[in-house]
Amino acid sequence: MLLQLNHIYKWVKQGGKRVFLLNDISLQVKEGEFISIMGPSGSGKSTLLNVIGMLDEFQEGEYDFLDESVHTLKEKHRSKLYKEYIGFVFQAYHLIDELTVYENIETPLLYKNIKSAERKALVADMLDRFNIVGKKDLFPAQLSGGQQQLVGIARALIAKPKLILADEPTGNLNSKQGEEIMRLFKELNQEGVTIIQATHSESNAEYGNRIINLLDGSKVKA
Amino acid sequence: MLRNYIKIAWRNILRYKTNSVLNILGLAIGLVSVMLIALYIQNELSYDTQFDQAERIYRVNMKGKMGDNSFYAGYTPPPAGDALVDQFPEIESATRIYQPDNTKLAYEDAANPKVFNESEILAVDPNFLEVLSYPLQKGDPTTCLQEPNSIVITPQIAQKYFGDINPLGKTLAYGDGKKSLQVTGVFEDLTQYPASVKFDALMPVANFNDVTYFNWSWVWLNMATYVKLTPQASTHPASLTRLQSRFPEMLKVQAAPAFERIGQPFEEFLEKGNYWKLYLQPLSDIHLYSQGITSSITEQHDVKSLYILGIIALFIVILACVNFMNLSTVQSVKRSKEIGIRKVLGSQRKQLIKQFMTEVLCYTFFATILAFIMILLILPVFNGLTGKDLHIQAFFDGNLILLIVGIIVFTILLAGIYPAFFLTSFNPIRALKGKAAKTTKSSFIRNGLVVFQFFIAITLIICTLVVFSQLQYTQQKDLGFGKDRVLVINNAESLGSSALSFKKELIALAGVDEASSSSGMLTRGEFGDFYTPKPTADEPNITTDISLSSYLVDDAFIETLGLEVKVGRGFDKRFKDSLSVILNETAAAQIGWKNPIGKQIRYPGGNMEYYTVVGVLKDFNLESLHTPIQPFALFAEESQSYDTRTSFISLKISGEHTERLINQVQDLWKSYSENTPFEYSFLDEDLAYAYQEDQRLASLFTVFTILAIFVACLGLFGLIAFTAQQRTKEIGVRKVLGASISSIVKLLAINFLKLVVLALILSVPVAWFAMDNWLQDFAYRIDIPIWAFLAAGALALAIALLTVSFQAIKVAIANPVKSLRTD
Ligand SMILES: Nc1ncnc2c1ncn2[C@@H]1O[C@H](COP(=O)(O)OP(=O)(O)OP(=O)(O)O)[C@@H](O)[C@H]1O
Ligand SMILES: [Mg+2]
Repeated sequence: MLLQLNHIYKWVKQGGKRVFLLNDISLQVKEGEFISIMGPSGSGKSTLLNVIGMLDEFQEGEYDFLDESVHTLKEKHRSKLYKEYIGFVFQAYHLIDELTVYENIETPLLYKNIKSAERKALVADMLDRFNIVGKKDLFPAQLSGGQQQLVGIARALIAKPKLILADEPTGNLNSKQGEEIMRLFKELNQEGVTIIQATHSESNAEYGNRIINLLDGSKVKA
Repeated sequence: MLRNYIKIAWRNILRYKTNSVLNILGLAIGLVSVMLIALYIQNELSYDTQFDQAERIYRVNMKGKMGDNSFYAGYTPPPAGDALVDQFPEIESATRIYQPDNTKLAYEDAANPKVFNESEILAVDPNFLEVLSYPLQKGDPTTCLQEPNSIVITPQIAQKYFGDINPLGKTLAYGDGKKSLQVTGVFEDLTQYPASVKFDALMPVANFNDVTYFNWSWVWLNMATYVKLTPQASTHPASLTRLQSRFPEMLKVQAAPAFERIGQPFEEFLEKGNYWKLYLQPLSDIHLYSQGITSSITEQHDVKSLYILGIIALFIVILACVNFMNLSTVQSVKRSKEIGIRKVLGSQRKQLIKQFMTEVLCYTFFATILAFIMILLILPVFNGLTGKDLHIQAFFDGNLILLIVGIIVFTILLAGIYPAFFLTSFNPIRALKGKAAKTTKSSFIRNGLVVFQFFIAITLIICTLVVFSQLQYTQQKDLGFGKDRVLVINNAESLGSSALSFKKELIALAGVDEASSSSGMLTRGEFGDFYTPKPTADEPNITTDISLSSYLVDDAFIETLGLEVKVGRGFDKRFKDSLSVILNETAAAQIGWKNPIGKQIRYPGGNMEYYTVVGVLKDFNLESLHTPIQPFALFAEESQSYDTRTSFISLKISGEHTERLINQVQDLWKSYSENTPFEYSFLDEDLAYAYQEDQRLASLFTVFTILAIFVACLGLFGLIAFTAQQRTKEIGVRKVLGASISSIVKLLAINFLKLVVLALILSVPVAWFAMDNWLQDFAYRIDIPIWAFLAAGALALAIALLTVSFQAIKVAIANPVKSLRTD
């Protein structure tokens, strides 16, 4: 078992009333799964991914990640945990504009205190793998959307995470670019990386081996 | 990691150019101000500390009270030094300084003889250089002043008289008597030597008969005495106090005969509530902590001005830091996305804080380099302003470099910590959405910082205005005499008996209205001694001893100086005035005479003769408005009441063709006194010189105030630029909906103007308090003018408005379509 959510509730107060963003979510994810979260806009997909990625708090429920109970961990410990095991891919890529492709990919390694020589080797491998060696000295603004997302994925993978959380990774891409990214995910999944993606697209969801449907913060049967 | 941080910092500096320029420039100006002020203060603090065993050296000061007059003086009677060494084993040695009036030196051996008036020649005891170790380049400090006919000179004097010839053994002629003095030593270059006693040449005090003559006197206060204590006595404050507590006993014994001789038995003198005391002042205190202690031998500044400058420097640095904080936090919207990503990628807050501190470090690094370049350019100007000779090298020796490093670290912490903690506090999800900075808390802090900056700027403006109006006032106040169009010729004593015909010839010149000779002159010091007014039947209850300063003058003096005779008459050829005296109102009032005319005062310091009061003068200031009016008298020249050996000739001139007139006077002078250089000055300029220190402080004040305002404006400029940019879209929409440019400028400006007004309200009481305090130093002072506050407020508003408008108009006139398209 990679992670397990038990009766997670997340709400915000609005005008004195609770508005539930996540409503009694329970979920078990085994290592090597490829899960697609689907649902209409505003249904809570991003919120759920953020909770799983430990970027966001929740009010009630339990969350175990690799046998650690996340809900009881201190911020510092939590960040160590996700730094070690989780990679993020965003719809808007979220590359650092001031850094080159090479430096963007390298950044997570810096935060893991990996030696310079090893960093070089790892980044070089990654550039190689995604065929972007020629682009390594360019800045994000000089890349196409698809290329930026490739860099985003390379960056998510560089620290060899067990889990990749992808929030509409193809949302800003045309269908051909989107397909390429999904095939890449499939490949990664076959190599053993667990993937959870949020998506609107049925066809993208098909790449996964399990689909979770959300509506107003609750899981619904498909 | 560090390399990565620096790389990002560098790219950010390049990317946000306006912001970077504002930050770096602001910090650099802050640093320049601190560095300049630190140099200045260091120089002031270093006075008299470089002498060997300086901590064992003290000046013997005198405090006395005679009737209603009390004083502190850096002078002692001539025998005090020897008596102290004699009586107290704790006092190892004593040395004295006497400031002769005559400063004329001549080199007569050369083919073309050279004669100059030097600005400062001091007479000292033979052991002077053993106590105060001024460094010699040539000569032996222990022997070079042993022979009375020796003189030790500065390299500048050597160059002036002897050129490149070795001056040792050469002969200089001193004074009007052309006394031959042999050069026995040459000092190192002393122009930068921070000592409170400055001179061009030293010669033994044995050359001066008046000193020898007054060797018995315990009331003739014309010599400065310095003593060196044993290490034991000087290191224990308690033993120092004990030592000084034994001085009164000694004085009682030593001074008694002298007081007896001037008709003032010492015991009786003390019983009347008077006192006459010696005390020790540490050498290192003389330059800065001698307010109210009279001395024309030492250069005495007010330590208060150092505090003021220090505070201003601190303010400017804080202003620059505040700019930095402001500009960084407003940038947080732009930076929040990066911060969010980094957090998601696993950065801990600590690491982000480090990253931001590295950025601050980079800014500070560039600012420091810029500051040093600016200092190199500015230092000559600053030296002109302060009358000092400061060098940038001074940073690298001593503690100054530590101080500067300390200030830089302080800057980094102050400027960096708030933004670093603020920017990294966001939740990554919110940060990624770019929503981080729009919290009310941060805008509250930002507004607070703007108010703070303007508070400081406005306070400084008000203070500067008040300082200037006080100076204006002191220089324009009716001093009780006509200071304009009075030409004063020095060295008239060299004319001897021909002075009379010289005056006659001067009067005959076109453009000369009056000509007068006198033993003293306003701003140049006066003769002072004790007199005993004589009670009469009609006014029996008067003060029977008074100290009077006085001049010996001819009958034209009152006319020439434009003094006003209140009662009685001035000196007049038709009367025999050799036993007449003219008092000022203060003197008459202090004695207690209602009808002074015809009353008499006796002069115990002379031949016990009586002088009859023939007139009373309206009070006038002898020195500057720093000093209150003292009892003063005029005696007639022919009284020869005392011998001062100085003489001035003053001319009241019409003020037309002054240049030509001066040439004529000079020619005439040459025909009378071939060997004495012609030296003249205008009385109003001499008076201005008395305010030089104030003037200097005022200019320093102004310079740094302008810098402070500039830095504050940089910050405001950055803030408004940012706000305008942030609201580009809103402004675009408003314009499309038909808003006018002026309404948009108003929209952007109104908020900032409110802040400036708030700052103004806060600064009024603070500036009031500070200036009220400062003005207490002046004997004659202005009321704090209301207009200074109004002007400062108007100025600050105008500056703010200008800064704001520039940005606001730029945004307002931009094409709305374009601004809508940009994100
Ligand atoms: N901080 C917040 N305060 C209040 N409501 C919030 C907050 N964050 C998210 N929401 C609400 O929570 C709901 C779920 O948002 P979420 O971003 O998870 O939806 P989503 O399923 O990812 O939608 P989309 O497909 O459009 O990305 C939305 O209705 C949103 O308005
Ligand atoms: Mg979403």
